[in-house]
Amino acid sequence: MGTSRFPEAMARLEFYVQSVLDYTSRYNYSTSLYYAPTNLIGEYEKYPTYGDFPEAYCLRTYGKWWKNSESYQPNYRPQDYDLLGAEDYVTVQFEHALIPKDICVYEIYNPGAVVRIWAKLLYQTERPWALLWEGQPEKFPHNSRKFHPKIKQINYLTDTIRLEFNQTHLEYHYAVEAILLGGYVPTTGLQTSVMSMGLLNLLTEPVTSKNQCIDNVSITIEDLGTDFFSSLPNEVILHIFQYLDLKSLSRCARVNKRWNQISADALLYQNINLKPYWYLVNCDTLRYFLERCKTLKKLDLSWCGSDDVDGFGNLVVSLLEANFSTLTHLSLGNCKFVDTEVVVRLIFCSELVDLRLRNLSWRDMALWFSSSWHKINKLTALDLTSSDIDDNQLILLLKANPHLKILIIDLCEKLQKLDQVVQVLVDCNKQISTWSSWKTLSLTAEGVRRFANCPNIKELDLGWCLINKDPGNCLHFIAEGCPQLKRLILSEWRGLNDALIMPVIMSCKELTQLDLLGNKNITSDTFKKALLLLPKLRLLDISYCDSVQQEEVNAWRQQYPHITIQNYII
Amino acid sequence: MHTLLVTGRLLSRALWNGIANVSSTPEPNIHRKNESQLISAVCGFSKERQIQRLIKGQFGDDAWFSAKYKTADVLGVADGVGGWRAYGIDPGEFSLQLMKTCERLVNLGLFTPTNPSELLAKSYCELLHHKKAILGSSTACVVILNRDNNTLYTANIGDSGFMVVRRGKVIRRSEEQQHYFNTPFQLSLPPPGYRQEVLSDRPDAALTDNIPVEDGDVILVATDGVFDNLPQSIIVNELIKVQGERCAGRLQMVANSLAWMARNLSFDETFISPFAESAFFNGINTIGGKPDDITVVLATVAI
Amino acid sequence: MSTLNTVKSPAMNVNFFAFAIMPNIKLQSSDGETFEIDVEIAKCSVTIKTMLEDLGMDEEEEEVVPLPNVNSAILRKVIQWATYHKDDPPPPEDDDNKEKRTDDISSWDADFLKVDQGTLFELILAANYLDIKGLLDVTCKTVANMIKGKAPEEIRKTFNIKNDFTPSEEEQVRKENEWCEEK
Repeated sequence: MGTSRFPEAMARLEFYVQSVLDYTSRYNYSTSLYYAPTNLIGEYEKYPTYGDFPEAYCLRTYGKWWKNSESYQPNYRPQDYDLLGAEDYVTVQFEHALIPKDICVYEIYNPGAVVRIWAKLLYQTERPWALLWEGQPEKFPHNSRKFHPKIKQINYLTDTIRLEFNQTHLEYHYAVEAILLGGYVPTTGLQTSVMSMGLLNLLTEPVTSKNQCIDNVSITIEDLGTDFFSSLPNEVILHIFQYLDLKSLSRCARVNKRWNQISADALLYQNINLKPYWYLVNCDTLRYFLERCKTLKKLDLSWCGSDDVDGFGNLVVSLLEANFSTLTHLSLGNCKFVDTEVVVRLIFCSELVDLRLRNLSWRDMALWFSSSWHKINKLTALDLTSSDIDDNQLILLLKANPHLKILIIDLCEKLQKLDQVVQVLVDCNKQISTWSSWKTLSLTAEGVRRFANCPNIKELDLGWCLINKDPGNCLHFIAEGCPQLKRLILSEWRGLNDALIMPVIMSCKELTQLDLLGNKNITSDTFKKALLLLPKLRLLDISYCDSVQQEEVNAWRQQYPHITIQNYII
Repeated sequence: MHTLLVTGRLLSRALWNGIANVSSTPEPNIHRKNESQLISAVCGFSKERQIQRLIKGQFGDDAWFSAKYKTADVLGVADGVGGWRAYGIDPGEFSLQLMKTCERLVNLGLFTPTNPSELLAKSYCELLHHKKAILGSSTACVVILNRDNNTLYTANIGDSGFMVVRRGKVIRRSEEQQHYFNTPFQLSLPPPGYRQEVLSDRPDAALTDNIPVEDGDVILVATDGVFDNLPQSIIVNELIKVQGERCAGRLQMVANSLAWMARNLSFDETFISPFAESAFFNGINTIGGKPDDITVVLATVAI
Repeated sequence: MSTLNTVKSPAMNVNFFAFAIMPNIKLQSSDGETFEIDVEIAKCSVTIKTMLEDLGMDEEEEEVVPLPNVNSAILRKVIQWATYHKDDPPPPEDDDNKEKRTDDISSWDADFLKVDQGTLFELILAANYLDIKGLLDVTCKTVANMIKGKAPEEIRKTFNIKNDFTPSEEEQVRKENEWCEEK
């Protein structure tokens, strides 16, 4: 019904991305250009060339490897999950607002990750996000793709688009180079004002009448069957309700008075995950849960609150205050509302064991630690990806939380004394099993060597940490001291050679993943040994290791079909 | 190899289909009268005599770029240090990536129009984070016309350089930076293991300068293949011809002729080139041109 | 209740599952039918287990355990379920995660629970009364799946539930719960 009603004089326009507003995943530092989200800006240059180019936006993760890792955040409320499994998103802005007609996504490496396309509607302050398209992730290996799905026709202006990605089925990294938005703009003042009031849509969709129709019909059949629920005691109904997602629960509340009362039971709201509902969550939503959450244990507000910043943070503060003594898990990934007020409250959540603070735009972490941060002393998992934390703050945290098992400090650019941090870890956090410091700058071979004193370590992500530093014999110590090592990421340790990596291959028999991307000096003999000598190996990444011939890798793949071997070379 | 660089590619280019609005649409290529800009042309040759695969932005181990962003027009050249070939490293890759990355940084507005050495430094640091380790070293020269104050900001490392000519007079010329004869200052990313032996200069070692420009000024940005083979007098004689030139085609002709002359003289074994003179001052007795890759980026200031 | 008893029982002999396993115990349904089954299987019901322990019932004795709240049709199904799951590891202590998903019902259980609503709810009540956690979980999950994704009116229709809100109350609860409704 859409197009025919448009006044013919509206102008057709197409734009490429002008700016990137938000993202959840990045391969490189925020100051770096290679593989960065900002590469989405402007027209494509590489497409239709297929490949892993630094000029495109590359997602950090792919496949099942991260999802299966011990550090992956569990769903705090498994009843609520995303059917399409969106892992990441990017939000981009265009020069002018349009009525969207076409979206083209130029994917140049392992295409197929887009699962949803959203438009943020202009002039809509409440719930501005409209879904333009959703669909199962796909897979088109070895070819670039211009993804041009048929999108839902809406009659609103938008200049902001969000793509949601699920890259967990892809064989290797996913990269997208450009996004084009095509559509119409009003050309006359009248059109513009009609648009800005959202009047076009009032004409099209009579939303309300539908439900009433059903209601009328239902009266006639109402008394035909037996209401078996009436024979169930409340606690059994509660038992049924505990399997329901939040959306179904709020619909149950509208069924009848008894259901209304049971569905408000605080027991049903101990674990809350609002991430799958990010586009619906606003201040009213928080008030709704504030009424119901009396003994909140786990709370995931990731992706939420980016559009309703006024007052949203205050309500989160209230929610935290009401549940200080029970909250054990908290995840605030990409939450724009996180400010000093929110963070100050965190300090009082003394029962916290699992804290995930990925990609916070709030840039004043120092304040956070100013006073009584040591009150939080039960943490077992801490994710500070892309945060502003500095060495002293991190050291205080490590000292206060002796039971820490998982520490993620990927892309934390302010950490300048990581060797020292590792020493504290060795002294204070005996149970550490995952350390992830992807793309941090200050670690040296001396610091890496200290991990040998963490006998429980299973996952060690040190990708890009020693780009141009001499690794010395630090891996020799790791091989001796970390027998349980399952996952070892040593991307771009350019000083590594056969002799230096060999101890790991000889000793770490539990290894399932070994990432040696970009290690030019390691020869194919060593890779052959890794395949042969590591019985549990499932992933070997030797991309950009020039010394290997393609035919050789093909032969290995035949010989070890259960092992995924990555060997991309540009 | 001819390349016209007059059309500024706007990043978000609107493709207007609607007829109703065409007249009111600003044409991206027409600049407003009072705004200064660089009109430029490029020509160059690889020192190899046989024709090689042509890659945009590259002549042999030389590389160049040209980019615009809001209030700045930026030009740059870089010369990959050939000695790396002996270590199995393609010297052209470092210079090409250095220039390409500069271009991208400019296109995305990630630079300061008054600070070309920062642009070089950023680009250099970026190279380190390419998954394919980019190894080698390069000299470089970047000039930025800042339209806000009609001033040219320059930075050069090593013997890639620039020259500004106004009405037949050289008003500024870059200085060469050398460690010793034929070993210029260079940005480098040596392979692991060679770090001790390699001369590497920090990006902040770049010589910087700023020059207020006038309408019609001629700017030459070139690699040492040009400056080592063409005496300044010949260069200036050519540059005079395009004083105030706004036609990209005629600019191209002069760029072609400069590059062609440099190439011919580089293979001339009897010619006393600037390189030979410099060698003589360093106690080396040699004569003739210096066969080298040649890159000429020629521009005029239009205000 | 009368409707429930008309349900046909599956054409499977419970003794088929219980053969050759000793010692046995006799369970008597509300309508007087007696079922003889293995004690270990019967003990998956915490209620029966406690009864045996508390009453000090000797396993040797051929005593009959009366189950006045379960009719023979349902008891037969319960025994069938318990027999199939006799070797399952004991269900984890209630907690937080894992068990809360409803897409993990095994295909045997799904087939087993392809019954009319009356039987399903009788099974829930029986599982609740007999305290068989696994059966209670899987039947409740099945009902939860029938609720999921439905609008309030569809839920009422599915379960023959009367709407006892006045129109103004209904409007109020609609407003209270509209956070998740897309406009």
